[in-house]
Amino acid sequence: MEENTIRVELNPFVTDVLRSQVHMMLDDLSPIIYVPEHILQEDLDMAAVWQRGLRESLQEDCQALLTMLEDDGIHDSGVATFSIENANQIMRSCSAIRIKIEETYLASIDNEELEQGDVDFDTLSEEAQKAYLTYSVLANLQTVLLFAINPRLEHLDD
Amino acid sequence: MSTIPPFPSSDIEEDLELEIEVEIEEPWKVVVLNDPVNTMAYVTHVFQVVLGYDYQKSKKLMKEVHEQGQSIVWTGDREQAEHYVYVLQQWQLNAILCD
Repeated sequence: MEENTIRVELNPFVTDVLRSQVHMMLDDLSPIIYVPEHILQEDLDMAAVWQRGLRESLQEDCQALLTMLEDDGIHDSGVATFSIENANQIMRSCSAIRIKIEETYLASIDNEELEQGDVDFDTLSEEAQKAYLTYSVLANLQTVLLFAINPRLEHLDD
Repeated sequence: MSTIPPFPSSDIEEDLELEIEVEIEEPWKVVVLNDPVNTMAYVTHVFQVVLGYDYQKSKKLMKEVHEQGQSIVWTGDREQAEHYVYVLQQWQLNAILCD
């Protein structure tokens, strides 16, 4: 294994769910972007540049995740390979898609239950179950990458 | 013998008084709001990467966000504050600017 490479093994079923969910979320990924009030009032061009920049950055991050999920290597061996360089992009995209899933499928769940992972899976619709599975897998993927590139972090969320 | 004329002090002094107005701009504050999605480890990592803080300071600020709902994570001039708000949003944190 190359020194700057992170390898994560993913179950093929999980990978399939993940791929289709990520595609679905990306088709409708329209984040609410905060623009500082003084920019909105003083410079509409700057506000447009700000919003466009953040959208493009998000698209690039999510494309990195899709590229990983659609890579031949993950089909053949079930192993996803990341470079240290694109780990940050993947981590950001994990957050973006999890936020979208939370807004779309999990908004009715109490925040504390969601943070603790204390969700009653059986009470969710099939659609919401797939979304929650993706939500959980992306959290784990993000955590694995996080500790690979920042080993001094503590497991603060346990 | 000549005499020294009196120095016309009062008018000149008034003219020389300068009104110096110094506009002191209050520092701008970068505030991060809590959200139910991002993990504590991730938020701590983001503060380290984006704001350049050490682990302990990043963890302290993350805890403030988590426990108090928000934290002022940086204060300073407007341009730098805008930059931080922008980049923190790239990392999917809920960051806003307050003056």
